[in-house]
Amino acid sequence: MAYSAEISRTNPTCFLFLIDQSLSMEEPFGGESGNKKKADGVADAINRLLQTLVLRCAKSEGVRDYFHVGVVGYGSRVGPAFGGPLAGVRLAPISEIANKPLRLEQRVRKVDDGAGGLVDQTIKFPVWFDAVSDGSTPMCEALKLGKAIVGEFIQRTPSCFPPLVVNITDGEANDGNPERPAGELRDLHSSDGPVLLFNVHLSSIRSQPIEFPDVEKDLPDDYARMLFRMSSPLPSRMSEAASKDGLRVTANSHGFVFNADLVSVIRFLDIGTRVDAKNLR
Amino acid sequence: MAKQEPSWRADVFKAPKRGHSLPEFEDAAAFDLDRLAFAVADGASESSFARDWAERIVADFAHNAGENLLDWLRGELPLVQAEWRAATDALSLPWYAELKREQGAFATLLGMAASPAGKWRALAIGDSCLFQVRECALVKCFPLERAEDFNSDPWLLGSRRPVSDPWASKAVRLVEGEFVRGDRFWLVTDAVAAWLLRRCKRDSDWQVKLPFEPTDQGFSAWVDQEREAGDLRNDDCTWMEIEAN
Repeated sequence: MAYSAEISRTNPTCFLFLIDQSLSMEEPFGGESGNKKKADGVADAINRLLQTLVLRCAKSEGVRDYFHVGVVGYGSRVGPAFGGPLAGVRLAPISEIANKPLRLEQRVRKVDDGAGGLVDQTIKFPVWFDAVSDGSTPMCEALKLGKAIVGEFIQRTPSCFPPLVVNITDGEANDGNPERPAGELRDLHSSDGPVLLFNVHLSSIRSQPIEFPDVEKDLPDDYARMLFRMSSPLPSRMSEAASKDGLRVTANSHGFVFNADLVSVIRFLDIGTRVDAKNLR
Repeated sequence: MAKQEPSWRADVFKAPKRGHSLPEFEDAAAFDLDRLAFAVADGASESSFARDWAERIVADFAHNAGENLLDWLRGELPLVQAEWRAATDALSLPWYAELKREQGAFATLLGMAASPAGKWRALAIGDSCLFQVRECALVKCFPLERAEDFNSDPWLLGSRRPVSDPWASKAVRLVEGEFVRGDRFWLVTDAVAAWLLRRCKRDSDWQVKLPFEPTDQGFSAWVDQEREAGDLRNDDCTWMEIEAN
């Protein structure tokens, strides 16, 4: 059965995020996310996700390399988007990500004081990736680079749990039709199944997000229908995770959210990267 | 002639996950044959310091659990939690290990205490299980009774979470029973427990006995063979056998 490979240090899996950094990402989110710029919201969501992935792999003795992770930005240029010591790195083992953030910010949060009240606690918040919004939307080039990165990873670990590529964008590609490079990316496969390509479309208007749709014809426009076709069907384990979170999913649901606000971006990334701890060996 | 009390013996067999070394093993087991207290725990893989936490709770149970197991949970466990905090909070750690330490460590716990008068009682939090075996027949399994009942989200005892209601009333399971001379008790972690329950269900005439030579090598060979056959999940495995003879 596909998507059942054990994830271990000798057989890690890979997460790759393709982030739209075009000028329109300067605009705020629609929906309930307030006035936060889309670029800032996505950078925050990716940094939090990287932190979550590190914590999933952190043990008393260090960080176990269950995952290799990369972030590609596309806007005025297309390329790796980590800052600091990982600048230029296409894909890094999670232990290296843990130990090489761009900076460690101090953030304050409220915690229980054990006597019914709340106290401020300062915590370290690692940042690997800063918001950028400049230029156009060369999505085809980003998908091609994604294919090259994931292809190299599969060559090294041919029996891995299939890599997941998440493309986060707020607009249409202006370097061609992305369906073809998306299809070529999804055609890559390990012995455990095809590469997963999920798409997140960000909205600047107040509109209900459409999460994990299962029918192309019900989507509002041609662009949404194209992103649906570009997205992989949701493997059963992720369907279960989405369903557990109260989302409506069916056997035909695709890894796609249309008109996403910040809340649905964070939820989508969490569901896509959630791994049963019992499968980490 | 005065009735002679049984003599007790306990052996622990353990095998780490395939691909892991024994220092990465996160199960723990401890017993005290003078006090007739026995415990196994399964440190949760997703938490840090889980092995240390699991070792602390089984050792304390074996040395301090008495007649009333809930008294141990309410009175002793907070002391073990305080010791764990004192030991780990003093460590200087990188940012990710600091965050994991704040979340605390987690483990299942299965503890059993017997009395010379032929009674036993047990406490369980999570999916480590007890099997009572008499003359190659299963007398009791606790707290889970079907292989289908295992999932990836068992109840866990936390190093920072107070043991109080409503959590405790849902998570803590208690049982008691009687034993006769010659009975065996198996205290096992979840992968072995699921194997045993599947084996018993598949063949109701199965002669329930240790399926391996009772040595470390014998256990390792059996674990390898069952994993290879796809019948035993790749997880840390602990099998404590206790005999009242």
